[in-house]
Amino acid sequence: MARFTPALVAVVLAFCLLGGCTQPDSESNRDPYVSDSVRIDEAPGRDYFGFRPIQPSGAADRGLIMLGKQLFHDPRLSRDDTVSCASCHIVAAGGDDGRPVSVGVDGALGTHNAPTVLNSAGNFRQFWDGRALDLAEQVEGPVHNPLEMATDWDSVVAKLATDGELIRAFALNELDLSADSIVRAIVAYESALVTPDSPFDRWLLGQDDALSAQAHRGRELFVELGCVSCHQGRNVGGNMFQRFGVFRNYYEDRAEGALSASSLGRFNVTGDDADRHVFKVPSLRNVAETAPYFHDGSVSTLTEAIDIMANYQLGRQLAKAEIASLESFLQSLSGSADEALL
Amino acid sequence: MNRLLLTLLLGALLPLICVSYMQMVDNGSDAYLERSALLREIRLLDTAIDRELLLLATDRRASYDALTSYTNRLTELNYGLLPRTADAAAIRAAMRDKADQIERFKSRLSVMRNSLRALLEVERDTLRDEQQILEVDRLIILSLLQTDVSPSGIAAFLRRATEIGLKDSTELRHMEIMLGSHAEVSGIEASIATAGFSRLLDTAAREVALEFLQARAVGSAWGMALAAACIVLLLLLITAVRRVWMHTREVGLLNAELEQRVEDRTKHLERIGEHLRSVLEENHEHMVSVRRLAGAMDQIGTGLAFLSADLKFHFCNRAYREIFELESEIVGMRHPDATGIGERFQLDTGNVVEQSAERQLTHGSRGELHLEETLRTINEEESTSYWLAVRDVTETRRLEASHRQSQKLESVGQLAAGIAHEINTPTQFISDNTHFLAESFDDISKLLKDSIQLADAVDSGKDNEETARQFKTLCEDVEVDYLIEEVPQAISQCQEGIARVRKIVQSMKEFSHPGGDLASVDINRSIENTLTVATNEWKQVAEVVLDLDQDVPTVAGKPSELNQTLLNLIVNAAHAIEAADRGMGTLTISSRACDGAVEIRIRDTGTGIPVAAREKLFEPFFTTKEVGKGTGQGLYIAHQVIVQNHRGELRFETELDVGTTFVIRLPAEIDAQGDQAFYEEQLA
Repeated sequence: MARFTPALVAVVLAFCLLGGCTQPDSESNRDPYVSDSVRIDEAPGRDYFGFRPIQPSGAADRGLIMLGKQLFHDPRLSRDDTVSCASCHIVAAGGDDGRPVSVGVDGALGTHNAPTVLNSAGNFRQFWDGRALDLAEQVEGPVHNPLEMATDWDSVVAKLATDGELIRAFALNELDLSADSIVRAIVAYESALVTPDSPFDRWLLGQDDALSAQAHRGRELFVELGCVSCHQGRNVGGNMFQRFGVFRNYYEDRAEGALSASSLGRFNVTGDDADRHVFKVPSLRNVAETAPYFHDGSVSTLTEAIDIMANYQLGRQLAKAEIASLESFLQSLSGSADEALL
Repeated sequence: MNRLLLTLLLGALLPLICVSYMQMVDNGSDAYLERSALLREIRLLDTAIDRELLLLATDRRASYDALTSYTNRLTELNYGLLPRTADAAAIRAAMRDKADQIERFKSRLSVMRNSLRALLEVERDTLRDEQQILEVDRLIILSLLQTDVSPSGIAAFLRRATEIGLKDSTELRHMEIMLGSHAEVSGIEASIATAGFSRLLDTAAREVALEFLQARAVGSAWGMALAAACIVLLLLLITAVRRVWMHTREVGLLNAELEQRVEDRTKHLERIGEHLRSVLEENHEHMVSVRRLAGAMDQIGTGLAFLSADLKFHFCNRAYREIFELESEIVGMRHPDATGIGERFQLDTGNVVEQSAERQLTHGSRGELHLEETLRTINEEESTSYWLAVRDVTETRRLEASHRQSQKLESVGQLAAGIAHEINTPTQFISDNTHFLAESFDDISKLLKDSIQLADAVDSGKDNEETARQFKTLCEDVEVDYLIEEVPQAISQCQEGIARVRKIVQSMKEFSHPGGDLASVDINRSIENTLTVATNEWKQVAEVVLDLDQDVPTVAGKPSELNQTLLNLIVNAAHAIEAADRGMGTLTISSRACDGAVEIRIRDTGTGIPVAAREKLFEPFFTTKEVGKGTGQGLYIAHQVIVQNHRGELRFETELDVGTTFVIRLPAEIDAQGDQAFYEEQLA
């Protein structure tokens, strides 16, 4: 026995050292500088002026996504149980509600046109004025906005706490019922609302006949006219801010003339004069399904919107055929989300 | 002392080793790695952003996606990890500033590109002159190279464009926008370039490194301390090993000696063991005999208890336990009747070695018990203990009572013959006299009848002389003189005889006064009655001399018991006189009042009591008479009655061949009144 003791001690020491070395690995493997919010993945394919085909990220857990879907459609997230996220973001119909401004609790009218929730994870900021860095930050907005859901997390959690089935659903995802858990689930769901497989994406992936001739013409015009300067990247927009009215002052020319506070755009966030009328450039994916247009929903057709954009942003007067071609191209940006999520 | 020092040293050394090891390991490298990783990532992102900006500015990058993701990433980093909050704040502020600049850059660059593209397109559509186109192109290139982007510079460019031929307001506006945007983009680029972001990062990196170096220096110091502590520990170990080795050698030498001593010791112990074994065996035998003795003790009927000085049990046998209904485990227990024992016996005097007392006890199953307790005090070397023997005399007492009753009946039986005789004598002469009286009456009645005839004859005128003569003759015939003399004598003798009978009957009645009730007893009368009843016992042998003091006080007592006692003594006296066989003796009975008591003396002129019998005289069943004549109960009962039942005294004075005097002393009733309760209790 005595002869084996040194060997035993050596083995134990070795294990201790190895343990000491290997233990922190599980922690350090996770990159502490990468936020775990889910982003859209880029699919392989051609790089056409920075455009990239998209596909949903496989990062989020399916159970969490389905819990998020349930919560996204749950009106208990509003003060009087009348408004859910899905009230203004109808995922099966373009991810918005088709109204110029949305209706919150007690019929309150909002200040901005509801942007689509589809592919929203691919936007570099959230809200028209970009005041939220990501979706997790964005979810807080409508819940607390008195014109929208007009409530707070404590009330929401208290209401949901009476729902045993829901608590079990949280437990299945190893979550307890809390504001954080709700946000995590909703963000997971929203991040999964990606619309791949649009004709344009298929063209980017090499399918030449995915676009009609008119759409091809529109695609060329989109680049030639300079639309691509701002509506660019994998989300065809949504990665920068731009002033509305570069060439001329759009608001001075508006017939209605009424300047709402919302029209000041990013100025409302920064207070910087240079940010007056500056908005997040919206993604044009599924734009054909998200009428009416612009931050105040003041324009109901794509034709009109294209005309206004060319005039005020590019300083160009487009021919009808050009507008039609551009419209055809924009229609080719409509993809389809996973049907199970709709 | 040495050991204490060593313990203290080890006690100090071990924590030092632990602490220094932990301090050495915790040398700030984790924090350093985290911080340098952060700084490296900031720098990488910064470089990547700069590269993107360059690519975008030179139109070699179409989309802002990459730039945006880098910028977003830069925004999300955890700057709180940096060592100084000031640095963290400065870097975060600088980063935000840079992010804002980049946003502006993105917007402006898009606008500039658009206008440039529009300008180049319009130029070809509206200007036909190649010279003009070249001029405009040159102007555009100049403007893009232009460093003076002040409003006046822009205005100069616009004037020049107008001169060249750009008349259309849209085209001029494009030019203006392009120039303005270009100016802004240039400004942003310059501001980003001069932002000093790198300098901030350098400073932070240097601080992180310095902090790490300091931490490592501290760690190294602890390492040195650890090494020193280890060396001291090693030295201690070497010393200890050396000492152990030396000890082992010494121990080897000592062992031999020790073994020898152990051997001697073992032998000694064996001898002691042998001795102990024999002692134990003896002890065992002793124990066995003690146990047998205890067993034997249990077999005897007398209750025995061995008590300590404070009346706790050392031992008691079965009979004792049964009498007092004790449990079997009583050793060490205080006697339940300790108080009673203290009252009945004198415990504290070493002189009284043995004392007896009688008591009654109500036993659970055996009813009323009469117990005779004997306490023997044993004084041994400063300690006192007691043997308490208890004899159950219930049966004896019962037998005694029954004997007393039978003896009473016996004496009554004996007396009956004498009494019958006594009554017979007067009855005899009463009978004779009445017979004589009857005869006399015949003569008298004849005389009376003749007298009446004579009287009639006189009345009828007969010869008086004749008549008188006849009467005289008549009187001579019936012996009138004799009759006149004898008849009254006969009558008085009859009366005397009847009186004697009545006296005997009265005495008997009083003597055998029934019941045990307490009463006032006139001793003189008792003596007289007893003498009368017992006349036949003494009449033949003795003359009775009564010397009774008529003023003796009455005595409280049971008349029947006292009479019985007197009878016993008188009969004994008569027997003694008879046994002396010296003809008629004298029985003198006197009573005297003295000191609140009555003294009765019964003196005979009999044989006297033999010396050998004197001591046992009052013991039950002791007799000097022939078998069948005496029961041996008489004097015992007399003693019981006088001494126990009446608190009196009974003693005797005797001289062989001269006689014996029994002296009874009874307390007078008046003095005894206070003790009424005692009598009632005693005589109940």
